[in-house]
Amino acid sequence: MGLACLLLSLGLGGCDPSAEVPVPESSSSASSIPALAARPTPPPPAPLPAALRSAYRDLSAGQFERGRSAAQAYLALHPGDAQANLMIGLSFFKADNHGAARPYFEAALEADPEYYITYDYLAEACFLLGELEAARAHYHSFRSFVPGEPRTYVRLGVIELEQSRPELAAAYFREALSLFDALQHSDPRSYGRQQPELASAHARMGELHFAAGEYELARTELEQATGIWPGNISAFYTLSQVYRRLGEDELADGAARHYESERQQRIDGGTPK
Amino acid sequence: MKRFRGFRQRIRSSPYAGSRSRIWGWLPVVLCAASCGSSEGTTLPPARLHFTDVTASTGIDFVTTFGQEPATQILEVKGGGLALLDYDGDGDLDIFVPNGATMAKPEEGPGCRLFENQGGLRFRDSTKAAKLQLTRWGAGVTAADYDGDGHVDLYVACFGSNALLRNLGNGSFEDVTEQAGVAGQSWSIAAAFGDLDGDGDLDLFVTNYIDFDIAHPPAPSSFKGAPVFTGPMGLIPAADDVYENIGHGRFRKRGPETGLEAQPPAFGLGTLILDFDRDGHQDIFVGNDSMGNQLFLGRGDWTFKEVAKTNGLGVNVYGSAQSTMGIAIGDVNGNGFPDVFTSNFSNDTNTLHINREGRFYDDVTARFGLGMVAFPYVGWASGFYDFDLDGDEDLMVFNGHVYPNATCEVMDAEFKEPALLYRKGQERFSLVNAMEGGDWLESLHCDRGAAFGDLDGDGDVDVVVLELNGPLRVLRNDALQRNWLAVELEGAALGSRVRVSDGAQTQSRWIASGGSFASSSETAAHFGFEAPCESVRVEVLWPNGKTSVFPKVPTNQRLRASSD
Repeated sequence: MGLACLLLSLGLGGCDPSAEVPVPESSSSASSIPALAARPTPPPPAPLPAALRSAYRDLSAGQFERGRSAAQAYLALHPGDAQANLMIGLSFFKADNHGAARPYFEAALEADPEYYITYDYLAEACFLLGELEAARAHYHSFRSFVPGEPRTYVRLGVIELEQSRPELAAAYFREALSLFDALQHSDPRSYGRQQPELASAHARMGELHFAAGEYELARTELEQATGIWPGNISAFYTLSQVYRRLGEDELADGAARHYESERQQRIDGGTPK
Repeated sequence: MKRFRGFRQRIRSSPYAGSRSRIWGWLPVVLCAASCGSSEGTTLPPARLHFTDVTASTGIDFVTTFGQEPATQILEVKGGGLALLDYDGDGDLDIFVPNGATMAKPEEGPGCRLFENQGGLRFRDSTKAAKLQLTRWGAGVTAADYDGDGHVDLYVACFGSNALLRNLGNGSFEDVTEQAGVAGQSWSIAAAFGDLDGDGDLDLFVTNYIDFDIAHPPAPSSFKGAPVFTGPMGLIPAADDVYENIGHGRFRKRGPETGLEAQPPAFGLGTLILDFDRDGHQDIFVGNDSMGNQLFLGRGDWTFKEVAKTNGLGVNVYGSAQSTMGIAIGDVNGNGFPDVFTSNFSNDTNTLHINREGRFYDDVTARFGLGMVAFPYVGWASGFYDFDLDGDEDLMVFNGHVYPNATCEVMDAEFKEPALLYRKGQERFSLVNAMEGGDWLESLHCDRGAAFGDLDGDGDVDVVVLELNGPLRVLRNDALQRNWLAVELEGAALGSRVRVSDGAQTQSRWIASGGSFASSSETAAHFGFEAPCESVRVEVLWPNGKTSVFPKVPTNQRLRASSD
């Protein structure tokens, strides 16, 4: 989800999520993606109260416990508050404690089923807890509110890949790429911000081809991924493997070296992948 | 005590056995090709993937010791494994457990245990009778007849000196570590035997973990914000050891000439010896914790080349070095080359690498459904076996965290975790739930090693699993009686490949030393068949390059063959 939409959906102002990306016409290649009933655009959430704005700032600054404490204090005064529950959930989520985050996201949705940004986080938490069916359901819920969000399709594709449905996974990845293409024309700034996600979509498609032994197709996708977003270093590794299988040892060595040096830099910089 | 349901009769010769091979087994008239699916009116019961925890009725009442609880150091959480071996030569599988100790007295633990199979899934503690007195902190074990005297011996990987326990053939063992020259000095986790130089005897590879000073243990660290013990990152990895069998019960430690030492030491937790690229030389796979895995391709002359860095096997598809604990070998895509499954830490997936004709390994974890479903689990012992005898290999993985304070809220994972049983479908592994697979799938444990073998001689593969500071458990396979075949190889068989064809399908199994986690499973190849099957074609590719062919072997028996 774009930053502007994220802010809006948190109650921090921004854009109209339903207007950010036009809903694409479904293409034949994506025909197996389940259609969702159109959902009326929910009213924008109420602005975050000052206490939760402060909590959000703490979370953004990596002060998870401080932000959590602030949100918990607010929740104690406003039991069941959806925004406070989301903030607490985020304080765990951003600290990679998805099991702790999940019940707060669920509580937020129980309080306000139309607080749709929560579905996205809940879906990702479920995915990282290995609960793929739940993750899929929540991504679809999110998709019903924000049908044109490419990242959701990438995530759904990854879930389908995990479910050994490579054709459906490919359909989702293709749909994501198609949405990115549309976004490039409709909202170039948002498109620019989402280059890492675009690269990720190409990389996932490349991995899908790689697992199927379709190395030329994998090469095309992974070269696009690494070209669009060189920060996606794992794509360099996968690309090195593809090159090696294609007998392009020099290219393979180069991609592997790039991966290794970037990886080492991140470790040395204290930010391992 | 022999209680096998299948035939197990020795026949001295067969005109169809190649390369001076002998075949033992019930061989009626051997005239036509394998005959699967040809029995008119014959039907098989549906494949049933179900186990029952029968520990309470086995007579085994044993709880392992690995440090104190809750653990405060990494030494206390790695646990160990066990071995299934026929130590008394009576035709059934007995159980050996090295067992650990405590940090206060690492040399004086409660000691190893040997449980003799009495048939009917009943076991008797025969530790004393077998004169087994190993009390040092043990971890992994591998069983093989290293001196070729016909009796299966034991090598135990320990914290400190390892132990070679020679089977004297009279129901007892003798510690011959010093004479043999295989003591080592590291914290060893696992070991494997294999004929690394092609001279017909079994050499030894030992994977070592950490240079851990028990007198000066490291200060605590943190994981996901929670306090935990330190390691392995931040500690010093220990170099692995390789020993050449020079005959007369002695080994010689091999050094820099092997090329193994050219690789920096790694946190080794598992190993397996096999001819991965089918070039006729045995290779060494090493699973490492928090570092890339290694594949040392052997050239048969005591030189090895590490290839996992470039062929894809060392890391996952994203280039991430994982924390490999368990290793399982199977032929998932049916191309006759051993594919490699590794179980890893939580917040990471297990990984399946498909072996592309020995040249490359493709990570196909997600595509085969083995990825995110295991994300919350710390995986250990693993095994590919056709548990339900339906013609393909299923997968079992045992789990359990290392951090005693692990909860879903703090670490996205619990300290005690369920085992995972996967059924193999066409292009996918699917989790089997407790309603189908048995209540044991719902019980939570902190499991480590497991060994796989047919304990009750009914043709299917049972499991013995070891829990960290928990009871040894026996899981009886309740597969329905379908057609099956077990191929047991005699002599220098470690590293062999067994191919069985029923006319419609060819399956491959490998007789390997190592794998699972720190454990030694039955060294027989087990097969099931999809369709009714009276006889099959069996081909044994021995590590010495010879091939034995048995064109029509009746199913529902144990076939014993030797390359002599």
